[in-house]
Amino acid sequence: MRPADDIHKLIKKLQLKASPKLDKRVHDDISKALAESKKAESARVEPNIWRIITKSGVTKLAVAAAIFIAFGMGFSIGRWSKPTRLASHSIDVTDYTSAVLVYPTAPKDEDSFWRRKTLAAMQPRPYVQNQFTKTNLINAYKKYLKEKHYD
Amino acid sequence: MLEDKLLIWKFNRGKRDVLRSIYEKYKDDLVTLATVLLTDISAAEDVVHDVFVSFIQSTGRFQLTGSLKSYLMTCVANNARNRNKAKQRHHNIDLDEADPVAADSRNPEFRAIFGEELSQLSWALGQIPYEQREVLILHIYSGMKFKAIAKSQEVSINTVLGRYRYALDKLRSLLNSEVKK
Repeated sequence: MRPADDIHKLIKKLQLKASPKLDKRVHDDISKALAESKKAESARVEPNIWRIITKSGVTKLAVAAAIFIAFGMGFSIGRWSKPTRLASHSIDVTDYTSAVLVYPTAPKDEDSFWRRKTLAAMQPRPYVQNQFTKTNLINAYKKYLKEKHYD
Repeated sequence: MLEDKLLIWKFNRGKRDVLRSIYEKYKDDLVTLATVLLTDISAAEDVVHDVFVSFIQSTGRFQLTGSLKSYLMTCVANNARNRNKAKQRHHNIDLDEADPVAADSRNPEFRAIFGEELSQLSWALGQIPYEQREVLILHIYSGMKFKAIAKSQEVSINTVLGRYRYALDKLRSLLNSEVKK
């Protein structure tokens, strides 16, 4: 007589073998799926960068951080640096001071032009660091005329 | 266990060649489970085949996190349950009035499936209602927890525990009465 308490052991003993017919069916399906996936892989184009970014959480975070840092840096640089170009109402008088004030009567042939430029570059330029407004320029010109008149 | 982890890792990366290893590892357990549930070996093989076809198609579409064996066992149990329901609808038999599976289990072929030693058990398993048999087999044979079974059957855990207790009692009485004969 088999005790009923052995039910657990008996149930665990239950074991059937899959038939070769089932094996063939499943293996055929797997082979078909493998062939399809290989075909799909060969036809696949280059992976899209946005797809990679949106798929991975870490990449998403990294891209967001990079954008945030770039934005922050741009903002801080733009806030603290001086404008590189002159404002519309001001005129850079560098050329004027070097070419007109220092050598106003220099000959205009090509050879003397480069020599004049070189010499001008070597001269001290007190107004280079300054940006002149129209008013300042007029004042400077008046000063120049005054000096020239007294000379 | 480590092998399972490796299989899951490969599966989650969409490597389809891992499917062969998974099938070879679990095919016998799955066929046994389906056969006990449906008491019909050809229907059981169809169920296992269907489950694997779905599994192949789902490669790369979802991420497996738990036990691979439990996942496959649940798939087989769900498929077998659907097949059983469809069979009952087909025969226009009310669930409360008759159990078509029990009729199949009287088939001497089914008794002989598991060999002479387990013929009484296979006969007795065929006599208990489908829901109770499912709980019993999933818990004892597949090693699934009652909570997981309740979730897969969409019933409360108390219902599952009740079915388990009824199934054990009935199986005991059936086996004892069979032995007395």
